[in-house]
Amino acid sequence: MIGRILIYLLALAGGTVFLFAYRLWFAGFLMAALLGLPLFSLILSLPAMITTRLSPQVPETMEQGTQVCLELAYSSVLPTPPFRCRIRVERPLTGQRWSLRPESLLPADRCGGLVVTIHRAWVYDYLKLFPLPVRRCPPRTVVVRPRPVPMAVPDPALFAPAWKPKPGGGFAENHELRLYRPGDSLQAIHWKLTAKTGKLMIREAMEPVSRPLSVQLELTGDPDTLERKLGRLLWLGDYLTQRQLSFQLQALTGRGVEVWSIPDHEALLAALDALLLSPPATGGSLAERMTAGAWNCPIGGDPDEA
Amino acid sequence: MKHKKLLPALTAFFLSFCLIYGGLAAMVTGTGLSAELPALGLWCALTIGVVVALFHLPRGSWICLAALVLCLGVLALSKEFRDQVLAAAAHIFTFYHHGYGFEIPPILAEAEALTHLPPLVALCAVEAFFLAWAFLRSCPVSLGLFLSALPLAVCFVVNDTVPEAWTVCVWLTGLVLALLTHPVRLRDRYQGDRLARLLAIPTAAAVLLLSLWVSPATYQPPQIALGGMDDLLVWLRDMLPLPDNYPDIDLGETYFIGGFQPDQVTLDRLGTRVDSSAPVMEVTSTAGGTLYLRGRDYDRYTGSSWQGDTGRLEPNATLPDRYATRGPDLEIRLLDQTDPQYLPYYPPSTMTIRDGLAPRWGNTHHYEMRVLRQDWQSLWRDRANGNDTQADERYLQLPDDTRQEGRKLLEQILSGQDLTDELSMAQAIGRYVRGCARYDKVPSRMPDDQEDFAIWFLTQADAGYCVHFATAATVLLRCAGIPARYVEGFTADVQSGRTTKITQESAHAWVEYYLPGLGWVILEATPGAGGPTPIGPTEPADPTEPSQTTEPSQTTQPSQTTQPEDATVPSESTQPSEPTEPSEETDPSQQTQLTDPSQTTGPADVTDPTDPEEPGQGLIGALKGILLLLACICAVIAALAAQWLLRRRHRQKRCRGRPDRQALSDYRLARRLARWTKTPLPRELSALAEKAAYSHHRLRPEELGQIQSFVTGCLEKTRGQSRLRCLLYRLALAI
Repeated sequence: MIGRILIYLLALAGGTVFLFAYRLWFAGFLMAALLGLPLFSLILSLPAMITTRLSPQVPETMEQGTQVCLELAYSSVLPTPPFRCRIRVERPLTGQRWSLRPESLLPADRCGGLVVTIHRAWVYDYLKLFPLPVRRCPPRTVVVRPRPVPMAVPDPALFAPAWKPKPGGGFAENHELRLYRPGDSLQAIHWKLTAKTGKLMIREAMEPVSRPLSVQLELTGDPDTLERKLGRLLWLGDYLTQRQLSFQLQALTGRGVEVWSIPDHEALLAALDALLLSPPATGGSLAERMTAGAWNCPIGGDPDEA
Repeated sequence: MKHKKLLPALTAFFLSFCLIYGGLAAMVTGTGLSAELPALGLWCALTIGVVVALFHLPRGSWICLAALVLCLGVLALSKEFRDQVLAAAAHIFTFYHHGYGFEIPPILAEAEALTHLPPLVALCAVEAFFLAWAFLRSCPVSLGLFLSALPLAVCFVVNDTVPEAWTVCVWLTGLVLALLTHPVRLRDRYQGDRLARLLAIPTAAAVLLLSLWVSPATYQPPQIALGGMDDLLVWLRDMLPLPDNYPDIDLGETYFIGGFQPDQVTLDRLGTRVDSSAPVMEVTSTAGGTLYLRGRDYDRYTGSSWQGDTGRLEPNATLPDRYATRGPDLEIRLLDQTDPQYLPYYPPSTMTIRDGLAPRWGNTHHYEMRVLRQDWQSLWRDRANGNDTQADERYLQLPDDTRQEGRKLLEQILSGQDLTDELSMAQAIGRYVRGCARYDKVPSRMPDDQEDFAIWFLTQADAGYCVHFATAATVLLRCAGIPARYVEGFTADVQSGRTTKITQESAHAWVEYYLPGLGWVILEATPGAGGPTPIGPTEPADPTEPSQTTEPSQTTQPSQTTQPEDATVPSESTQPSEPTEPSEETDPSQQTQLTDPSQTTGPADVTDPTDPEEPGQGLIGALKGILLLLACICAVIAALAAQWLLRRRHRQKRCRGRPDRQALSDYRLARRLARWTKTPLPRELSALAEKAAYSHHRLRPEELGQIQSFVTGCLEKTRGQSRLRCLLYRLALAI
């Protein structure tokens, strides 16, 4: 804009010299045109300037390491006048900030949510002489998902369900045979086996008892550590959900302890996206929140942990 | 898809045509190049159309560049084309030669051509290439704009090449549109073109209004304290690479009319007279009548110009007492510091004239005028022929060819008349010159094949203004052996006791001839000039001519439009009737009777606020107002018509065509209505519109109905809006 203003001032100075040196009609006409041009441009541009809206065009999610261009969507009642803006990109997970120009690449080298905000946005008249601030638009978020990082899986037997008698009996897929105890229902007596053994045998209906599965994650550490933790979470979550094992995710973030129940892959991604947009934890621990009797799986960020 | 190519092409064509044709037409009208404007317009349109069409081919810009180079190369091989280019350059260069003394290169001096159209078309093709490159390839437009301004710039280096206003308006419309839309075009070409289409009418209207506001007829250059202006002009003169033979300008004593003008009057390129209403001075007189105020004289005639020799120092002697009587008192207040002192006829005491100018000593000058006695002619004829002082030989100077031709003409003019003295011969010459052509501010220029301006005007021209007539009379007087010189200054009708503002429109040229024993006397050679009641010893103007302060714009005199067949004795139909005895009109005693304002013609511009406004000015003002009103009404009608057309087009699209097109049209309407009624536009509609635009599948009737139901709902909402708001919305939509 400064360049345009300088050019205009130069033209004005030239027109003034021409006005007094030439002195015929055209000199005055040119001078009047030079003086009126900015006003004319402003009048024509004002509806478009006032109604100009800018918003960043970014995908909602993207994979870590992919290259995505930061584009701007603009609209106004007339063809959008020239504008200028800076785009602030913030990664809450690590607290990093960037000030980017439109058409530049999003910083997707690391995982984490990105909050894209337009700031210092100015729209100009069509002659690019008068600036007007553009009304702020809500920020957009992009989630850069981590690459899965494999981790050591506990013995699958741990995931095998335990059995307990079904209260009240009834139909069951699995049954236990035992000696009669006083109070057992007569309907539960296994007559055939009783006849063979000569002892009263009971056929008890059993139902599965799965141990609660709890995954703990603390959003602490340097960016590499965080990246490993989140990658492991993704890998483990995939591993569990593929086996149709629901689990509970407990995460310590900057907002405190957050808990998600993950029954399937979509829920896993939703929880992961929320985690990626969370600020890192500044203190505290999940150690005291270990569920007693449950299989607790804390995810660490140590590189040798795998 | 078709519109995506056609509309940008049409937009680029329109912008390029405005810029190119406006610039070239300005150059043609300003410099008088030999090219018909309609033909030039057609050629420009054809050339630009071809260039724009070529740009739409694959690799079109390269094809166009190759075609352009090929065509120019083929043309350059043609001797006829080369001659036309050189002739056009020579034609333009002549103005610089006359204005600044640049020598015409020999290669240009010998060039001749019947028409200058082909070089202009070639220039148009080059400009069209760069402009199409900018408009259709979203490249910087600076080079194209610079090229389009070049022809216009040619006109504005010297003062006598003023183009017609409409050409400048056309060019300016293109320039403003290009400047306003190019930043948008650089980002998005289609949006830039759309903006150009939207702004075309407002820009054209704005330029039209501007041209009405700053009209050539009423333009007044700004008056500034020119103390620093002289320094600026001196600085400019030092900075410019002027040749050595450029006349040295003493700014303190140089006569400026219309700007930085060297000490000469260019005749062979004399074009349209450009008047300006800039005030020059204020004059207060104790008597009414027509006043001649002498600015500067020119002594040397070259056939194509009047030149004022430097180093002339001579007294402007006052009238001898024998012929003089007391005239009115006069006070002149100069408004422009670059002007010289203007002398009335006659100042009370002898004054020194240097290089044809009276030195200026202040802003306000007071004169106790002396005027010729009523019987000065008889007194002069009865004078004792003794040791009368003679004028300098320089005032008889003429080129040899001019003198020979002039003498032949003079023999025809004076034959059959018994003319014994200089006074009678001067009067006869004045009568002849006044009747030889009609007055016209837009005369034809002297053809290139003519060598002498005065002879051409006397023998071939049918119209001219004061410069033409005064030059012709001066040359004839010199041929007759009467010392004469060409004088420029101002004439104005003044009223007794009132202050009259004299403007540039009153600039005038006349002749001074020398009568031995008396001195320099005015000869008014322009028909209709001088007014009925001159103050001072002028040769009276033709009484049959309309009297006016300034020169008439179009004095149509059918009887005088043709040269008399027998020029020896001008017939009654072509010559002005014998004027009344000059002494009757220059009688000082009569002048004293003319001090009654009611008996004199109205002043050019009287500062007395009680004076009624001139009817002509009022009429012009009223016309301007009506034009402005009409323009506003037309703009509103155009806006409403555009909106109606837009709606009709949308309606047609909605009612006809494939469901996808209907859906898209409905979606656009829905978007506008949603914005207006502040209804959130459902995302589903956007998805449907995208599907209609990009998908190969046609929308189903229920999907189309979804959009249409939204439109109907929004329309229902608008029913409650006020009619004024609806109208404003329509106008805004149209604009």
